Amino acid sequence: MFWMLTCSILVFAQSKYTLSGYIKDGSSGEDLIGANVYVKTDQVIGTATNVYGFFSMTLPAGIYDVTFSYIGYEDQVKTIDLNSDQRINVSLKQGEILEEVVIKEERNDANIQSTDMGTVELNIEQIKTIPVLFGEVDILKTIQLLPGVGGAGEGNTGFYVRGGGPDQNLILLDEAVVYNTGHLFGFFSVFNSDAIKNVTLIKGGMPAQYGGRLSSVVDVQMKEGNNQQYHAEGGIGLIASRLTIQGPIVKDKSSFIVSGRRTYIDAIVTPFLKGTEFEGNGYYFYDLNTKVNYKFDDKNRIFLSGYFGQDVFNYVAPDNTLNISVPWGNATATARWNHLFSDQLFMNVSAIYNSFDFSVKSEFQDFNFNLFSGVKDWNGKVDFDYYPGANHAIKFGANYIFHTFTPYSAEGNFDDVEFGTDTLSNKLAHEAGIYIQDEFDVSKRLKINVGVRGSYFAQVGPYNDIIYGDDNSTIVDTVSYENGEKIADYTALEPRFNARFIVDPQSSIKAGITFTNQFIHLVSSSTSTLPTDLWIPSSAKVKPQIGVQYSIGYFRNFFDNKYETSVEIYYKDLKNQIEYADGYVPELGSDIEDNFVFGRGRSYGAEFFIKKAKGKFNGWIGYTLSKTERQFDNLSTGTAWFPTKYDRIHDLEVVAVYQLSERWDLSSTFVYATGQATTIVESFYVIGGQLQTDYGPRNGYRMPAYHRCDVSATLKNKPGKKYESSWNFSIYNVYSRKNPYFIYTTWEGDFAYGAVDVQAKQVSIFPIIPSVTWNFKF
Amino acid sequence: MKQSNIYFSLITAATISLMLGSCTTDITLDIPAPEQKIVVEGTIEPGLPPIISLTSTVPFYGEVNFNELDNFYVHDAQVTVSDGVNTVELVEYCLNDLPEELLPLVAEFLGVDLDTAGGFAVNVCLYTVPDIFTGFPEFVGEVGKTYTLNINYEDQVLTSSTTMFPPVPPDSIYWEPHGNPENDTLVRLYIALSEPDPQGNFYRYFTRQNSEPFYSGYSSVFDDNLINGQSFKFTVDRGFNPSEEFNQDTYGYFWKGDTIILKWCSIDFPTYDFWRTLEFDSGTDGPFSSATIAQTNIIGGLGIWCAYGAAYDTLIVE
Repeated sequence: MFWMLTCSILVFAQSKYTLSGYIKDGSSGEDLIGANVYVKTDQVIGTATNVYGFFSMTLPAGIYDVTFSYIGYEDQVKTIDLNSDQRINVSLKQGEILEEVVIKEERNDANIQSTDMGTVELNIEQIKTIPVLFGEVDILKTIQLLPGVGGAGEGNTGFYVRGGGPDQNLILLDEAVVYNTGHLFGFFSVFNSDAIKNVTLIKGGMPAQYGGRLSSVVDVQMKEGNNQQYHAEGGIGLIASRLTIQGPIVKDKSSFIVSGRRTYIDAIVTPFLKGTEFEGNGYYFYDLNTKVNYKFDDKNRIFLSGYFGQDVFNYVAPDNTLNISVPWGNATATARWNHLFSDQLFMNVSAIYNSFDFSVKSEFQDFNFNLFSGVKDWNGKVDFDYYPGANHAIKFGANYIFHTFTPYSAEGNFDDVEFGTDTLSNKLAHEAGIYIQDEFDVSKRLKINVGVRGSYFAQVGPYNDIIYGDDNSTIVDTVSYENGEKIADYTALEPRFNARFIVDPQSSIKAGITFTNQFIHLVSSSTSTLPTDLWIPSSAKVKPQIGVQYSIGYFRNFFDNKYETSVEIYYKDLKNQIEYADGYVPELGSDIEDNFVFGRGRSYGAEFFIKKAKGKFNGWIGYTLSKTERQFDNLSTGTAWFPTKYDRIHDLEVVAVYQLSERWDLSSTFVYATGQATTIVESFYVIGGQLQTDYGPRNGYRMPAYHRCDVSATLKNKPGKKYESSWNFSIYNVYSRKNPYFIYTTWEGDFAYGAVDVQAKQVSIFPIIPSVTWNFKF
Repeated sequence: MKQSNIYFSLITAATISLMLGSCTTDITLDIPAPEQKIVVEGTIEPGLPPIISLTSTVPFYGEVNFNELDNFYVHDAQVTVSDGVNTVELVEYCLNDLPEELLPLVAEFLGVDLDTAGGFAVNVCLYTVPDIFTGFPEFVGEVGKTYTLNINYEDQVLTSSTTMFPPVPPDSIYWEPHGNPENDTLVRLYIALSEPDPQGNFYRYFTRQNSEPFYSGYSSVFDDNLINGQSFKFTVDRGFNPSEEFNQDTYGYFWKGDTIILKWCSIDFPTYDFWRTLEFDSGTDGPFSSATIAQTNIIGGLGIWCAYGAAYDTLIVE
């Protein structure tokens, strides 16, 4: 593979010059990610900006009409006499969003031309038009409207990509890993849409620059802040309010953005709880995003960004005998330095910190009890973009992470007696990766993106490994590891390959193979991500998860690229998948990895997608037919394959947006998915005079199908005013479908009385929910 | 200690809060008829003979009348218990055939309060030693022994074994008033325990309030992971009568004037694991939990065969 890379680079030797620079939004100075730059000679030669808005293109000397374009912006064409290396910075003007006139036809076939498969880029402005629960714009819910992405449940931000679990998604906020993406048990994501610029979802054909997760990458970039003018924007909704302030620190050189959000459910609900059994419960969450950047010169720029968010649940017993406070949340900090070594070599160096902490503090009379868990990473990263010639875009880099995992730890005291989980210690691990990839044209029709990633992972001391006896509970020995001493380590080589073959100007075929390894794991006993979820490293007992994905797709556009369509087929083979043992009970003082069992997984399916990207009426329809199964020798299912809870046989999404007038936007979504596979009670028995339940086969029952329609309407103020104001009216679950949230079994009567009446019940949580949100910007 | 349950109750509380606007509907599950399994519930204690109940799983939803179920009780099974040296074959007794004075004993075993239930609603059948009526049965539990259970019924064979660990009597038991002075009639039961080394001891407790049978708490088992080798004081909930209406304000509390007997038992790990998984499963339901399969120690069936190294302590709340 390296041989191929080097050979293809050496082919270039004649007098060629490099055109490079940045593409920005003309009014805010924000970098535009994925903006197109192209020239039309006998063929279209082009490139796109990276996540910092930088592009570089090397062409034979000559005069070119270079077009700069970005969806929703007016194209700019510059005539450039390329007789030396040139750097230009281009500012694009925002056009009428999604208006046909703005967008010329040439490069609107990016879906056909690129080697990307299973990759979707969402601009935050697009996301904002789609109706959502309680009017809270949520990127993680919007990506669930894409084929191949399944929702974790009613109103939930958790998602499954091509049958992969929620822990198999790499979710990045300005390169920092966000371990727990949900507020309020996953009903809201931690991403405040006002602070977000861009979201990229990669569900297949993961490029070599990403590693460490099997299923997908969700790469979220925060806005940099307007470096031209001060702006404030915000919104007042039913659940939360938002405020964002941004502006230049030094015009054209430096800017900042601060964005905050807080809920007021507690304030609204508390009066209603008085006197009920819920009295004393309180809950709120908030988050804060900040970012500053400074441009020293054309070659050097730094960015500092941070996120801090918390959920707090507290309970004070009405008679004050019990007092519980449960805060949890993420924090991330990213420092980045962009440096241009030359017009062809771009570098970014990042230093990243991220953490997730969960704790419980309780006081009950003389009894104090504190529980905490979490994960903390220090991450160093260097990435290079190298553009040796028009047909090559090479990326290479390395990264290193030091992980600290804190399993459930407890401390407490009763009167003067103290106790704690001191026999358990934090788990520490090194994770490192190095990668190189090249995207290049083999011929006019065939383009290849080939890469390889090398990964290393090691769990290190200090650590006390507790060895249990045959009963799995009595401690028979403790092995102590010194500071930095290796406990277990793993290396992996992960080749990545994607190819695109142009069939005709309107259609292409793409295929890819992706090998991935995942060294850190989260096994959730629930359907969504929870604050109590625990991440753990690979260790002597827990092997890395290994995935191979094969995919092939046909992409075709119709009517001058007005309609984009695609069919993608994938097969995923997964090893070392993890589940809890059948009789798992979460318990303090026991090492969670002793409760795991390991097995195989597979997922396969076909995704159909049709999208109308332009015009007053736009939107898409996605349909996925798929199957996701697992087989675990050490579960009661034995050698049989059983469906995972991520399995959705049919999954349909329809999104429609209509611009009724200058002031009114209407939109609607419809989703349908096969019911979740779940384990249900099949029979009953009596122990201790009480009815007990005996379960049927694991995930052997399908809940009723999930379907729902949402609508929304947005009314903007008249154009030309000094400020923008809009009212968003939305209705969630228009026809109030009682979608199953979970099923449980209950009974009346008792064995002592000779008879019981057993009944299965289904809980549905969100009926029809109208909401209204007021947004402003000035 | 099962303090981890604190945050699970929190999650349950949060779930309930979420469910304020939710809606629950009765549904019919479309499932094929599952096979019936034999359920064992057997105990042996120091100085007491083995008592075993053999029942079947009830494989359907809807109204179930235990008396009308032909095969709820497993009759005519061959049941033997062995301590490695001696073996005894148990015989089956059904309530309808028993003399009146033995009913309280059966009620005790089954955890049925004859006063509130107004007698037995079901013709209960149990297997025990043949010389039970002599008052001095020959085959009784002894600390340190391992008891093997063998059951043959039609073509099914069920086996299990359990070990009786030495009792660890509490140093003392005492009560403390309710944290809120307004509830001055309610008290909590406290235990002072010197937990012996080494790590690896398991406990189950029951309480008796006045004339009631012994009931276990909702969370009745403990390990010594956090308290190994320490002298420790802690509180336990009053054992809960399953046919009693749940009352959040009084749950776990005793009343002034009560006579409390604490039954504090040493158990083996399989017994601990069974009750821990069974109780955890009963205590959780909902989107944030998954099916926890009660870890039976019966090979070929469901249920539990357990030896209790029981110690008793009495407290009068005055």
